[in-house]
Amino acid sequence: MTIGSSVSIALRALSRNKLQTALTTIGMTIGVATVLTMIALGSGAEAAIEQQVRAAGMNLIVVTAGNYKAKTEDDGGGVVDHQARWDADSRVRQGRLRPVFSPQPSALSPRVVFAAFHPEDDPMEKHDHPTARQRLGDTEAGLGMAATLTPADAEAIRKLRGVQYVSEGIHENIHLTAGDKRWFTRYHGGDVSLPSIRRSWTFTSGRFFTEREQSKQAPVVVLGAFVADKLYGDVNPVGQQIMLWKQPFQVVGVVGSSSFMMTPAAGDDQFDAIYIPFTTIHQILNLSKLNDITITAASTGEVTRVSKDVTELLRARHGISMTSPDDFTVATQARQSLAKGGLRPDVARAVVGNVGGLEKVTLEQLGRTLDRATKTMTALLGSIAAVSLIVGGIGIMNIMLLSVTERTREIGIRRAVGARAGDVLRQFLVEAIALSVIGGLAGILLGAVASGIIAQMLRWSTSISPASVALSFAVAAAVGVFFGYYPARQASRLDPIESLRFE
Amino acid sequence: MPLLRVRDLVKTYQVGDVAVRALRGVTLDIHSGEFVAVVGPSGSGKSTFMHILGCLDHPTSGEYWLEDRDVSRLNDDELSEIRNRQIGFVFQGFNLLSRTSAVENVELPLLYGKSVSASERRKRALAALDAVGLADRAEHHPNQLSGGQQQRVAIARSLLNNPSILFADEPTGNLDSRTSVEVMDIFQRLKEERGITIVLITHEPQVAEYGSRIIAFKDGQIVSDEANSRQRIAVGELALLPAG
Repeated sequence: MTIGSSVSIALRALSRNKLQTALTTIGMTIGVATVLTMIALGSGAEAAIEQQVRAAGMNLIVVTAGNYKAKTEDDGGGVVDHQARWDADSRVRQGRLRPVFSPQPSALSPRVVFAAFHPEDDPMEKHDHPTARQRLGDTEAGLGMAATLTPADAEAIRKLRGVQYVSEGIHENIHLTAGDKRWFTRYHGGDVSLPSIRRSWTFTSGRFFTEREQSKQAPVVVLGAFVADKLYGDVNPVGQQIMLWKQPFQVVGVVGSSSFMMTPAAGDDQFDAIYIPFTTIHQILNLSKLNDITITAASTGEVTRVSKDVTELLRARHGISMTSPDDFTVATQARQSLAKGGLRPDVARAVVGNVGGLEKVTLEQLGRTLDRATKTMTALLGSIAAVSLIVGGIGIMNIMLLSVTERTREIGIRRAVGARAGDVLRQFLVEAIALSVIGGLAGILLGAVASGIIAQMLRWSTSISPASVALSFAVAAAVGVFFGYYPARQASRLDPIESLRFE
Repeated sequence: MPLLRVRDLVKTYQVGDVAVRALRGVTLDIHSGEFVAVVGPSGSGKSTFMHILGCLDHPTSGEYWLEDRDVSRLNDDELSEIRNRQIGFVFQGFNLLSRTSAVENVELPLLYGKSVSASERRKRALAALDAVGLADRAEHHPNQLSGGQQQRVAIARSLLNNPSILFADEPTGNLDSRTSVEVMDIFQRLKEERGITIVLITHEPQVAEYGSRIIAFKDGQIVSDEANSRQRIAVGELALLPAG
């Protein structure tokens, strides 16, 4: 007897008792749907935490040119270059490094103060533009004068193991004009991979600039959502022209935030900003250095290693001797952002509350702890749901036992015309498996719908992976085999003569 | 060489503490093309005898040779295969699958044994139904057919694998007299036209008289075994009966 005819016999037998079949499969359907939904919720939470961790910069490494420490506020807003005092000049002397900006002799005095006084620092003054404090990073822009990073450095970092994305960074404040509107904001020269690094980005219209535009140094610009709103309001800016450095730039896209934790606002560094290929800026402004290089590690757990590798690579490339300090700063943002609340507050609370000695915890451990916690949660949810699968399986077993009794005579007839015990066993087993698989398929459908609805209602991200679908299906079939075997064996062991006489 | 060779067949059932001896040493030869009627009161062991000959049951002791095989030594799967290929059954209660069309019932033996394509199964089942005059009832379910029609479906089913022997256990028990004669006519024609050996179990002496040989059972033993000199011919009787 072929498998095909076993299946068709089973399906025909099941279709004869539609209500019974439907009720039996509902048990399986609910079981599988519950398991699938629970796994989807669990792995959704897992993915959400992972994403939050990444969005918070857990896998982010930022290399900034120069190695400075900002003085405390009572220093009058000035910045002290600790290194320059004894280092910059020595390196200049050694001829290894030639800063683009040569400090004045006075800059070599123990207290180097740039912009000791600026009209914007007058607290009584009213301004019609964002002041330096509002324009984030003005002070860093000043530090950028120690231009030690080059596109070649970035290219070398790209080749390191464990590095996912690398973006060259060049930042400055800028006036832009679009028709009769003007806006004072900040530009970021970057690499095409920037949207992959800024995970919470979404393009409300248009796109990011392309590889081709970057290599051709095209005058294209992507507006932050806030800038787009200020300049164009409800009009779609894509295709419009804005003037930068008195040159026309074409708007190719508008970038907004996909995270409900972050909405574009005035003065924020990401959306009150514009993005231009760094190559275009280099060409127009005749520059060759970078302010910073932003790197993401492929896995959160590797951040520490990658940042170490980056440091070593840059020291080697910059020819820094063993005893000299770095001429760049490598910063990972994990702990910083945890403390600052870059994570969703509830997650951050959970992490801070549950991870003892957070300050000592390395990123790797933190990543693993989060992984373990979410995996445990998924396993817990899944195993609770598995109970409903067992209940469904018992339902199938019950109905199959009943069916064997009901159809004793049929079994006798089949045996009389030549069915072997094995054929009978197979027939009933296939029927049980068909029940559970039909229920399982319906359950997968129901589970997908249910987790979709939950995702919408609770704004909880869920993810149904092919693996979890395959697992549910396999479990459903296994339940059919497990709970169908006993009744099928009972059927196959019936005595043909007894069954033929059965009324 | 006989088609069936039975030597000192014994069957003992254990019912509680009591051993019931259903067959107490039966020895018998049946040759190909015979129409054997087995008669005897209920409890005489004739049904047990048929079950063993039909490979549905094992004897407790004794030998049973079907053609050149010692069937008493075969295992369950081998017996199933013999039932499928060499033996046809017709029962008193028809034993059709309910809620299954006539043609699907007839196809049943082809599902087991060597595989036959679905279209070939259907073709052969329809031909078998045609042979018993039910071609137009192929899609009817058993509960839509009369008793005689159901029995003819069962006969069509039993013939599907071209068996060498047909066992009929009280085939007319549930039928009126005219349909009984019709069924007997089918059996007699199968014997004449196809040379199929027929073993008919009945407790009615009148029905037994359609056979060419009558064997009487009593208390698990054969008490008489003789050729039937006054064999009734169903086709002739049918002509005389008023049309049903």
